[in-house]
Amino acid sequence: MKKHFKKVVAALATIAVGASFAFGFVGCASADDGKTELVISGSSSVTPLMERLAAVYEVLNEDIKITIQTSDSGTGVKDAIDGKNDFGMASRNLKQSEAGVVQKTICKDGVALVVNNACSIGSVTSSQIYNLYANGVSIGNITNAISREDGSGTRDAFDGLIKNDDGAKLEDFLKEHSNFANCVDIQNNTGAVKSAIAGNSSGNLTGYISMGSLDETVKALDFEGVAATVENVKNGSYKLSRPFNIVYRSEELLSAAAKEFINFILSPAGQYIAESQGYIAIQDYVAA
Amino acid sequence: MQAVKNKSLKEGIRAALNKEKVAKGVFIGFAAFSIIAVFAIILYIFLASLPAFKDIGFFNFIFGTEWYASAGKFGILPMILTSTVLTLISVALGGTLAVFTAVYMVYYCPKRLKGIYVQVINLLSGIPSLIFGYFGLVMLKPAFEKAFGLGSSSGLLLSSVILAIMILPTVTSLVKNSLESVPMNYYEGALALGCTKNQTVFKVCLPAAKNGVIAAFVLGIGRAVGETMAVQLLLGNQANFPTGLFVPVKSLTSNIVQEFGYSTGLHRQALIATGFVLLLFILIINLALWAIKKNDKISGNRMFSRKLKESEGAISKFSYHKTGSAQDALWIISCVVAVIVAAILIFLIAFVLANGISNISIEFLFGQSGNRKTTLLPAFVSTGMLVLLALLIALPLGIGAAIYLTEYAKRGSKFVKIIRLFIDTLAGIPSIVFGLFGAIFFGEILGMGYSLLNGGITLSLIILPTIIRATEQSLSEVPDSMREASLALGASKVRTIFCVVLPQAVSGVITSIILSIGRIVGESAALIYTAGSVSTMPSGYGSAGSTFAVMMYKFMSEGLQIDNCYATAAVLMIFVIIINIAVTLVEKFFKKKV
Repeated sequence: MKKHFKKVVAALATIAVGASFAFGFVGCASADDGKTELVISGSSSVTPLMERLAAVYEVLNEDIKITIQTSDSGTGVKDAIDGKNDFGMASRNLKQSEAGVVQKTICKDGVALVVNNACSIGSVTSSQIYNLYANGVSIGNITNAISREDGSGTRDAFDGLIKNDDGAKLEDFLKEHSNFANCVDIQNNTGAVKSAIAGNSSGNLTGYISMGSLDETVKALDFEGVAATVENVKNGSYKLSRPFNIVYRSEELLSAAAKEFINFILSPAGQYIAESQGYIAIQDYVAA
Repeated sequence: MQAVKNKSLKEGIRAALNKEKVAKGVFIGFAAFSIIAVFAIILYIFLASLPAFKDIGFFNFIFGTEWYASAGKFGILPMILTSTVLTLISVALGGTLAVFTAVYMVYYCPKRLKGIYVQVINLLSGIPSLIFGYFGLVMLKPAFEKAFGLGSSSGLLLSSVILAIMILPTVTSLVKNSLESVPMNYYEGALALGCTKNQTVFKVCLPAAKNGVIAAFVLGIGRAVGETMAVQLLLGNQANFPTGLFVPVKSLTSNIVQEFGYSTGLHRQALIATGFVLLLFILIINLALWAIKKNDKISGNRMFSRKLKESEGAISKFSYHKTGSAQDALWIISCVVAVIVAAILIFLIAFVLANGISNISIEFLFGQSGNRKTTLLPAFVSTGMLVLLALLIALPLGIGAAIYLTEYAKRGSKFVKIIRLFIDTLAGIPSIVFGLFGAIFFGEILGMGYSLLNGGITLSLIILPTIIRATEQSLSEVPDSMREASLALGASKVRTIFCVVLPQAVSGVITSIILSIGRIVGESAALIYTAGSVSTMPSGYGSAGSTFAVMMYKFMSEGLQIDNCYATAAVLMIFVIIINIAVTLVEKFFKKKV
């Protein structure tokens, strides 16, 4: 029995040592290349775009490794304030409470109202949406809706842009009532919103996601008679849009590598990538 | 010459004695670690939530009816009520199903099927909660919407059905254990008195296991209160009062996991305070469980030794006349329930594998992962590193504690009872609370931030009770004669433990290692705020990393990589199956040896 025990111990020890070597090796392989690491964190809406930009940038600059932490805009700003990242991603403008950081817009993004492909409704107005979210008034057979969580930049834009006929915004309603109507669910990421709507084959559920995250699983609604397309956001006729920002403490505190990456994002090449992914390049690019 | 020899002998004895004492001290220390851990968790979460209690006011916080962080409203009464109602419904549902399942397993299951059925239950308990949640979101939710003609079926009903399935395995196996420990002569006696089998099972054996059933229900309550990742997808997450089955509501856990990441200042403290309230819930549940276990023998006997009241005579005559058909009906129900449970499991596995397998490729599993394309390679490495670190910390602690409990402590002493209570408490703390503790204590106070180091240490606390229990179980199965023989041959106690007793208990240690790996692979709630959620390769213990479950969560969140999400779920499922098979094989292997 003792022999047996020793064998097992020996085997376990070998596995442990082997494993640590393997991990050590992997660790060295990525760390010892002498790559400079950039840490970016924040909005899950900005993440898909940032991943594309980072992928291209890593090919162009082999000595750079970019790590992207996905969560939400609030976290991105908070990490930037705490100095936990090189810069944060936010899909909204900074709030007054978020002092000590500056923002730079890298592109614009439309917010698309989406329904199941089987839904018969094709167009909605702002006040219809307001009444659905605030008072539970259905729009045709759309009886239910999904919103995002409080810290989401997409939600921030949505609450600020949706108004009723009297010009009252959704965010004003929330300040007073804290909750949406009972027909509204909260999901804390784009994926859960899309999954829930894609599964709603009866077509009575609506929600909103970043325009860059649109695909064939859901259908985008026209808003105030205007289709949710890049062109319409660009020419200003589609009103539901918000900026994608990066957030950092100050120009001086940015590392050289971070500065160069930001320059790349704002360069024609970076802006072209943004447009090709379904986002809207900012003005300077169009001029350049 | 003689004197010198004597002296060295004396010294030798003294040295040996000291060694013994040191060893004992070390084992006591290991055993007491659970106490320290529990106190540290309670203390730090309490300290971190103090400012919230102060600024908001304790009563305003607990009894406040509105929660809207952006407007500075922090009242958690709706969430407390939601958590309570949700737990009650799901435990009533899941517990009832579990009792029938356990009865079927113990009394009606054909011998050949039984082994397989035990596997079915074990498999069900190993499936990560994220998979249950996702299954609920994409399968059950649309089905409910069709069935009830609703726009959205999020809320209490949907969540409690999924929760019921999740707590079913835990409750089932506990009820099964206590049914199996009902003395055989009860069963035989009842049959000899002319009861049918069904009457015996439902009128004699099940009542005799009453305490075990209650304990199992309480444990189920603990599990349901703490469940996070699955319910946050299904509840609808508005801080409403639970006034209907389809009203979007928010539980204590879903509130924490959804808002903790971006919260700052008072909001963050209020969320930690929410965690503290959750912890209080769990502590109360654990104390209740402890009290039930303590009363085990007394109330178990009371059931049978109670005096028949005069008035009961007439009733019992009547009830014996009409019994039989009721028990037969219960028998049929238990068979049906057992089939349903097996069907649910098969459906879950089929659902995940059917959607996932086709998306798994060698490239997706082991390809270079980067911003261009995410693969699972970093998850393999991160999970491996987490497993290694967590086991390195928890194994010595756990085995040491188990040695103390079985080899040194006086059985039934107060200290041992307290240690047991704390180990059980540690086992009952929900992973989201561990996550909070890790984020506050290791992340902020010790400055580890989002790192595998932080995640690994947090995980070691989570797997510690599993290791202690499994090791203790197999240590207690070592016959005392082995110990006595070894001591009689002149071996010291430490030597006896390490050379004679522990080698016999290897199966328990290996089982606990495998179970721990299973737990770590599927863990998500405790890791999102400790080890972070990145898809890149970790470059050491200082960098963030994601396990498979966290990776699945990431794929799901972005919503552009649903194929990858299913594929990761399938990989997780395959892991769970492998781990279950491994545990069975280890147990079989060592049973044969002995």
